[in-house]
Amino acid sequence: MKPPPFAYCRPHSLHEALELLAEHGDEARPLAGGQSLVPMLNHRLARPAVLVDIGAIGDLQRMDRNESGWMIGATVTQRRVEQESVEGCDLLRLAMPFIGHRQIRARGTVGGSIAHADPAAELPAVALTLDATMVATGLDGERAIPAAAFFAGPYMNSLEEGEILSRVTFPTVPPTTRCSFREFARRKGDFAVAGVAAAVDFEDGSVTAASLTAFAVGSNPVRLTSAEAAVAGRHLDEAALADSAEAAAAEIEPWDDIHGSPQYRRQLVAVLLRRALQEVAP
Amino acid sequence: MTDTWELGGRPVYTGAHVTRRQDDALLSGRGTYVADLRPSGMAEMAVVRSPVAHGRITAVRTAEAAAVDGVIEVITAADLTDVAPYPNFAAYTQTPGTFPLAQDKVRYAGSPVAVVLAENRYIAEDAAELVEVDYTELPAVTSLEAALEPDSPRLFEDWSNNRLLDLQPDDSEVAAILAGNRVLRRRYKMGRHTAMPMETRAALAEVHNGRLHLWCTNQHAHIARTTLSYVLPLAERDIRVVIPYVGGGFGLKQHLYPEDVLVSWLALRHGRPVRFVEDRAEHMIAAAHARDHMIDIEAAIADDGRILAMRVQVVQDLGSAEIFPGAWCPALTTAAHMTGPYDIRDCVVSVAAVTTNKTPGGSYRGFGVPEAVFALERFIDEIADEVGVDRLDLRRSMLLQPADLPYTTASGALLDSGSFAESFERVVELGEHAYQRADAQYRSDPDSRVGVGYAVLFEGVSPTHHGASAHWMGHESCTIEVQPDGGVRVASGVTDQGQGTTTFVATLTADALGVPIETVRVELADSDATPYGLGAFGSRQAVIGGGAILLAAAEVQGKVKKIAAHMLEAPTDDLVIEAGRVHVAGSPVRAVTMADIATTAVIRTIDLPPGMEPGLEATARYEPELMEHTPDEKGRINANAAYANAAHAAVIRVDLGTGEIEILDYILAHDCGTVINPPIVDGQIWGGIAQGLGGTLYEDLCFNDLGQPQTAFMDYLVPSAIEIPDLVIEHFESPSPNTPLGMKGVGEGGTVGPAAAIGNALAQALAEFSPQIHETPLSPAVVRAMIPDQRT
Repeated sequence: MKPPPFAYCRPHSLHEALELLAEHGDEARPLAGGQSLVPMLNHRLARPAVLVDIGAIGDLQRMDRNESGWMIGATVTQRRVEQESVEGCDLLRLAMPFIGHRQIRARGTVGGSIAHADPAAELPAVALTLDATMVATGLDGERAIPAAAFFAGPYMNSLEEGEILSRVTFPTVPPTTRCSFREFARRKGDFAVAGVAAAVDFEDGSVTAASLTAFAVGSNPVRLTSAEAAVAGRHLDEAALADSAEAAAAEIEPWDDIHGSPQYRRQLVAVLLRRALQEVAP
Repeated sequence: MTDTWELGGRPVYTGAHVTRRQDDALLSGRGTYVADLRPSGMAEMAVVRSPVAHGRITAVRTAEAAAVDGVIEVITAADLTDVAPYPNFAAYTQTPGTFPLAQDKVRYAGSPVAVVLAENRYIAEDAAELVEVDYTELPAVTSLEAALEPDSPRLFEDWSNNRLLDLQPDDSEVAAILAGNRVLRRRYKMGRHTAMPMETRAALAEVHNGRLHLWCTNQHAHIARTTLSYVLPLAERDIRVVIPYVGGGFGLKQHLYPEDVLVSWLALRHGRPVRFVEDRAEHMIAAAHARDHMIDIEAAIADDGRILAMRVQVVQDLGSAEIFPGAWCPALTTAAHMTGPYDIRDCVVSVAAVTTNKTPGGSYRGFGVPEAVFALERFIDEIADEVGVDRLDLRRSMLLQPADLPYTTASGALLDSGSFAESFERVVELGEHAYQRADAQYRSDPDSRVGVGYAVLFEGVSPTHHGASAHWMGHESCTIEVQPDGGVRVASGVTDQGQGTTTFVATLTADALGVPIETVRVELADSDATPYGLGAFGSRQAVIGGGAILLAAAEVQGKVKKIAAHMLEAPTDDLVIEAGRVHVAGSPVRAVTMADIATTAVIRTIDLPPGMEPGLEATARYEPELMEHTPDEKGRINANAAYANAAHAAVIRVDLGTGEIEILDYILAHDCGTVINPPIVDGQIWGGIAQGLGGTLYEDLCFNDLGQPQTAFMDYLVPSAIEIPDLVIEHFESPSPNTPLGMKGVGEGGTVGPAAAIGNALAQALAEFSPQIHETPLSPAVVRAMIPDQRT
């Protein structure tokens, strides 16, 4: 478990980092908190010739709030987000404790987790649920990618060669929106076997908008559009919960591994969604 | 030997909370492990392992790897011309002919095929990728059921089947009882899991003045030395084995692995230090796996559910069996524990140990007993359900009572003492109370079910080594030397993997001599510095190592008293030894110190009693009198020096939605006879329970149909402190009349009960769904499948 040889650089500006990436092309990989990339190097699953450590770039460490949301720099650590109140972004706050262990969150970054696009990771699910915007920066400038278009399969994103995910904007939600984050993992801190994120808005007890996501059940986190439709305009009574859970179990296409069959993951998503909806019901 | 065991001094430390000797170093990171040793000129080794589970090696090309800058040599089996296969002393088994590197065939994914020796591990791994091996793949045997099939592909072509061991005792007597009674049959399986010590395996070999010095993580300095002399072209006198700090052994480090031989061979060949430190990915596929048993029980049942007779078949999946010592002994141990602490006179067990294309099985804490306890205790609950009797009353009707002791089990185990019924009743009392509380808490929660399960068990401790090696027996040794300043050096063949061996050696030595514990220096695990002993296995070290200490100390103390009597001009019977001083009873000022006595014994020998030999030192060896090494003509054997017992209760909550088992209460009453160090005993129980729960709920080493390992470390779910519940531990002390001070081993007891207790608790919790609970691990997915879907 020793990595093959690689060159290491630690630029202090984003421009410098982008130039390095441009120079080395697909031989180079950006390194943020290293919580996924370093194990992959040690297992020789990733073999970049050049590691561009983006940890010393001040611009990527900013965390600001404006009227529309939280703009979180790519190398802001998960632990820092956990410690901030991220007001108006309850779902993000709720998801943080599920990411690995505290030591991992102290190193792991928001941008790193999202760019890595692990199907079982929490932050991509939060981004998808809240319709977050990923900002990709290249030498030619910035472009915004909506969460729904960002994830391109397991461990794959839609960044172009030479681009870095420089920040993520998580929109704040109105105070009437209630959120729940549920995940089932074998041990505390493990990757999810299945998980559900929910942000639901109500008026007079009826659902006016529901954003429901399942993760760890397929290539990428997936919006549960049938389950969302099943609760639209309804009070979250027993029948609505059952309809939504049933729809969710039917619309996902879970994978199979040693922790659970597709059938088991369908059961899990149904029960997690039901519990999430029970939690947010006014 | 001795008729009555006693300490030579007042028990000042024995039974007290003596602080563990190594804790300062261990907790502050100052312990020196093999991976901390870095002699100048050291080279490192990486092993090229087979990606194929079963195949013939048709070509190995090493030239490209050998040409890498910094590579010293690349070797294959063909280079090891002066190495002998590991011996097999067991005439009753077939011989796998284990060799340090695969010769013509590979028999598991992970088999060592070649070794790259390089200036460091990074270069060695770079070059290892360049070694090309061609395999002709063969069909893989990946389960014990497949291995039993008559037309199963054979791992060893000179065998007629895949049964390394196949013992079919005469079962006619039991068959007759089965024929005349109601018979119940069940099959139980325990999955494959293993020890995951924080420190992986490691070995460093160096040549000093023509002698091989091996620093390694093995649990036995002397057995390792002797085995190396069998395999390598070296005389035993030219080998020194030293075991530095070890980060957990748990039985996994009982085996002398190929890498231990390979570093030694390479160090001898190149005249420079060679080190191997296993990485965790290798550990998952190349360090011994364990359990993987299938147990079929057929029992004749009385109307009230009592077991009248049992016919049992135990099958153990050995993986490729290419390991030394061999790994069939857990199956024999399972067989010896199949009746539990119950009065079941007629029980016959056949045992098969089969080879499959998986990582070799080996030793692991519990060693066949968890399998037996899971099967028998689940079976008793199932009988109770079937017959319609109370599961606790059914146990009561069969449990050994104080008046039944001593009791010889059907397998020949001599239960000379124990608290089987008493510890069970105490655990039932606490368990029922905890269950009522849980039931009240969760009764109104539609997503929860609660249950309580029990397991009651005995466990052979301090066994003969002969079952595993068919070679070594069961003694331990000790040298005690009092030096001229009165300080004590004690050297023993026992070893410390972090469990506190050093502390009990100091404790017993201090009390046996009557000296302050601070004056005792302990030397272990160096084959040059300690007398030949067998080291750590089978919860033996306190019992058998303790016996050797007491014998050596008694001899030293006899001489101390004679010298003191001469110096004080008093009869030896009037002397009292305390805190390193010898005084005349009733007259504390008429005293000499241990330093006075030892100076006389070693330096001012002119002051010794006339005719007495100089020196104040003794070496003793202790082999328990009642321990047997080979079975009688009916297969019965008393293979252990002692038998500990315990009762477990688990109160669980099952989440009907996810299938997750939450342990609300875990209660255990434990009896290891006389306790030497209460916190160490508690620590052993905690650690054992954690590993037992790991194997029951979390840990699973999976293989696919091609024999490819499916469980990486990330997926191998060793429970953390968060997953382990608070324990309630109740102590019973039933000293053995046959062991030193009445001690019984404690190292494995905790590991043995959890599978049975949790399985029984789950059966109660889900009773409305009539679940079939016959296998571990009980993962959430497995449990969820027992619950009808409309429940969500």
